[in-house]
Amino acid sequence: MKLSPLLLLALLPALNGCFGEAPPGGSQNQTIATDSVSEAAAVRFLSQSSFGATEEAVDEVIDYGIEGWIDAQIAMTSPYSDTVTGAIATPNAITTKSHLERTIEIAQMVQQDHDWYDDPDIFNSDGHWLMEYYQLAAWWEHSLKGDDQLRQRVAYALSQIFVVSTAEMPLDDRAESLANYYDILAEHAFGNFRDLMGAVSRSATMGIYLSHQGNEKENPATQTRPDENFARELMQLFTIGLYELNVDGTPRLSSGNLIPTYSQEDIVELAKVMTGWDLQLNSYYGRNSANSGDYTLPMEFTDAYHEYSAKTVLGETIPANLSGSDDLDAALDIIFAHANVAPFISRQLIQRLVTSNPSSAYIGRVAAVFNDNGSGVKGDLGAVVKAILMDDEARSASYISQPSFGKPREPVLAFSAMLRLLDISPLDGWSGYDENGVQPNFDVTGVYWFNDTELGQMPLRSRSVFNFYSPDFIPSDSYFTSNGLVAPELEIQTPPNLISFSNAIDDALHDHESNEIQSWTTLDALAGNANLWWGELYLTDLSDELTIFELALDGDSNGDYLAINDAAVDGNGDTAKARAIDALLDHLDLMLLAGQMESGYRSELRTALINFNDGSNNDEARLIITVAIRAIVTSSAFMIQK
Amino acid sequence: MSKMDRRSFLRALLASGMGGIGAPLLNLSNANAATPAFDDYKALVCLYLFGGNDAFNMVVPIGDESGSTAIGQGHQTYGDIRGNLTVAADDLDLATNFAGGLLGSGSGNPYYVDGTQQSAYVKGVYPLGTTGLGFNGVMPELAQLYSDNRLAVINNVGTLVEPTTKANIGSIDRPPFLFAHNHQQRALQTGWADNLSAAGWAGRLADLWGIGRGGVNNNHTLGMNISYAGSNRMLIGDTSTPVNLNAGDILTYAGMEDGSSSEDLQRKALFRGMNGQNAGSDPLRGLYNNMLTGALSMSDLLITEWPNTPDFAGLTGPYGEALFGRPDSTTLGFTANISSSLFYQLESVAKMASLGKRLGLNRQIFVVSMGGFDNHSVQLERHPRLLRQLSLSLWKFQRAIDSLGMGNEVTLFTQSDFGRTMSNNGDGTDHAWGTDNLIVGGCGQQWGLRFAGRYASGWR
Repeated sequence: MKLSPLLLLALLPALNGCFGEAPPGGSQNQTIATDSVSEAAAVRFLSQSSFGATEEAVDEVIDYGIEGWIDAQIAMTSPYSDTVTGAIATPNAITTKSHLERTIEIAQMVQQDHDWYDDPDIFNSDGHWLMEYYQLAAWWEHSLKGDDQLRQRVAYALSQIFVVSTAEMPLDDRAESLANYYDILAEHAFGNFRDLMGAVSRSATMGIYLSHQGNEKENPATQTRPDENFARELMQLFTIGLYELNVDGTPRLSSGNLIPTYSQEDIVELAKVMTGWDLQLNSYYGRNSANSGDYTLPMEFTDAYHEYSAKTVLGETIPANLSGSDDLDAALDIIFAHANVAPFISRQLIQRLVTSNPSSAYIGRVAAVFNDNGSGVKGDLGAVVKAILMDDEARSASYISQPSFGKPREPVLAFSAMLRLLDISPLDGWSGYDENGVQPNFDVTGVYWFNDTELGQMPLRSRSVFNFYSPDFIPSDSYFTSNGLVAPELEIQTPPNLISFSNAIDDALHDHESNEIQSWTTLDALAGNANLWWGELYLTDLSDELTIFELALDGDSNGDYLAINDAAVDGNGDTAKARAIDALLDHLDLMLLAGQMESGYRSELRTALINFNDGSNNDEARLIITVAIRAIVTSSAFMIQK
Repeated sequence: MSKMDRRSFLRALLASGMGGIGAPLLNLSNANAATPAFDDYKALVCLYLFGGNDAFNMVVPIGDESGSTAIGQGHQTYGDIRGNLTVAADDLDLATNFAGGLLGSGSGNPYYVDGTQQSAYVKGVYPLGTTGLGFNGVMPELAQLYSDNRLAVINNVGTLVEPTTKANIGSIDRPPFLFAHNHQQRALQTGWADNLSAAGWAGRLADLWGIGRGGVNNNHTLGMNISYAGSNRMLIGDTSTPVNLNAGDILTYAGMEDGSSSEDLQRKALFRGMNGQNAGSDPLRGLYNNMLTGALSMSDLLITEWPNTPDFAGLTGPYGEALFGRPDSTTLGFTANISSSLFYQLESVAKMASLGKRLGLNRQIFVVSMGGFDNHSVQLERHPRLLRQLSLSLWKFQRAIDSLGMGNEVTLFTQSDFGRTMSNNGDGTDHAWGTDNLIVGGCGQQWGLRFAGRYASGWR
């Protein structure tokens, strides 16, 4: 069982020995922390750099220091490393596998008798409508349980810039392509932005999503000309944006007007570059079908469909007759050299990790690193991520009270943070599927099955290439409109989404909670009845919270919660129940709110919790804990990350 | 290139649909204007077609090349440019094939060829009188609404900053970021082509009318602007806040619904208490608290009122399906289903309009949407399903509104990012500028309006 940080503090000397033997983060040369980090500061940092604080992660950050932890995460061996330089330290680490590898494994486990290699060279060559759920399960597993939290979190941020989505068929039935695409993002999360541009441009997934797959040069006979879709969004959304920026992200102006970065003519020219690319192993050039082609390999180039004339993009000329790949690289080089790339991408990464409205100075500092990592290299994303997280505007506690600082948590990240605190684990032993229906002989284990729509958001599933929300979304509020402040994540937090998010939290605290389940059945019995048609199959565990609560209540953790209805009060006038609630709130304040809970908020919550009663001691303890967690997680104190 | 000025378009819509507002709308920033005292009910419904609808294949040019239709080019030229996306000019005979507002299933559909939507898409049209134009064959309901004087076509509207002609296009101010989805959406939402940072036009109207501050609609929880399509800038004001809802059943907070359970009441009291805490100096948290409180108030209101809204039982669609039900692909004569999302959104709008009127509201503006119009590829497979869904949706909605006796009070109009290129990129079309939009319901009926503007010309 994990331990609360408060208990941990007392036991620190004993535990240090354990961590000394198994350094978290996977680095072989453990960095000794030179900066002292409080637990609260570590929780706050992890809200910016992971899918949520856990007690283990907090300890890692304290051990390593902020910078040391970032360095260790960047140095950590990944499934994408050329050579494996060392085992990942934590037992049962899943980060030795890529998203694609896990997606394939999960598909093969849930549908054990399905012929996933009908075409021996191509996984899922017929396409399967359940594929997108296997990809999603792999995504949750990596995000919730990966040791490479920073890599996964940055990949997620990149997935909201280089957007693709199951909304574009057949990426749903061929969702192995999304797993592969996410691997591209994760692989380059600390790599070079220019390499990322190249990999994304050639990926089958992006080819399908923005339709340059199968694109052809102008054909007078059929009156067709190249598709402009990818050419446009590559510049508008993925690299330079619509108007010229200063390095600090402020717009450059000419006579008071914005200066467009490109013209329609640039789009037409760039579209010609993006011709001749198609899926490998496709049955004919340009075919777009769930049962043709390999969706996990980069696209291949076909000579006959490429426009070989010279092109002029952003004022630079690409000579005629370059090979398709050279042509593409020449165009990407021109775009990458544009001065907008650094501020345009830096601002959005800051928004995804730290704050919605970064100061122009903050953007400028990060963009400077983007332009030169100190060794004269442009586009070093590892250096950029580190600059974002190490910046005074991200780290200094003085920003917590600044009105324009902070960001709303999006539903996915709020939910993941709570699940990680509650020790989420798979429900093992549910039934897989064959073409005739549920197949009880197919035991599914180790799978994080969550594909319900109630969060109002799912990764790689935005409605359009404009992501779930706009980086420039200004909410309907006079303070924001008059100050020109944005709050991107609030764009999707409509009343129905707020309600269904709250209900998802409630489900996680009750329907999925191990202690509650075991108050009426066994986990094995539950799993025995469960199958893939249940949209969510996972377990949470309130054992730590129950222990903290009971230790403060009656001094033991035997589960009798004996003093919960004792009227006796101590010298402060507090009952045992009130003292237990205090211990619980200390824990939740630290782990969910990074120690930022105000006194008025706390007393409102404390008073209300004291008045919750239930039939048995056991039920009452769980009721109080679940009410407290739901109230905090759905409140602005948690949902606004400061 | 002749295009109707965007603000004239809005003005026309509002003056008709929102009768009697007149002058203040022309200056939405005039905060001193008196809040009007309405004694009637009117609603506008914006149906937004995300991605840029290819209106060239919705309203198809079918005339000859003589120029008699004022376009100056005809179906021959259209076909030469469109290649495999060309819709044939053949008349699919609406009067016979949609008699009594009923369609046959599968091969009984007038557009049926071989059971694929690709073939249906290009089979033919329903000619619109002598205009030289016709609605795509997969849109019989649209054609019937037009024939019944319930639908008007606004030809070739796009965003403009100032009057623009082919001659002056090089010297005048053009809207920034033409052809970029998000900015053209924004321009339509602000109603202000060169001010993309303004609040939405319907939001500014709500500001001006004192929504949320005791003005029009008597400070009702429902406000004035309601989206069933997620956050939409058109509805967002500087001081007024729209309501965002999901189509279908009303969502409630688990464990807070039961007004007689003390535990539910405790949870709800705690929820309200927490939302009242600590807004203090933090605008993000203050805003979030307001959002949470608003969500609970809305939920409380709708738990009570929604069950009492009309359910349209007994009404049917063109195939005899339940009014807001979805005909399957076999019924449609397609190989793939259409989405039912817009049916549900419009059903909720019809219910909400009825509720708004019953609760004494005077003005409501709704946004609903369809996505998927950005067909750079696979257009032959996808666009017919979108047009079919659009046509059925408008028909179903109008039936529902008429059944409420609100046919003169509710006007629906479409918008889309922009039009698409007349030319073909192989299996789709790319971003362009002007496009055709539709007005359905009260407005068209009252005016007898059929067309405004002129069909795009000068295709190449």
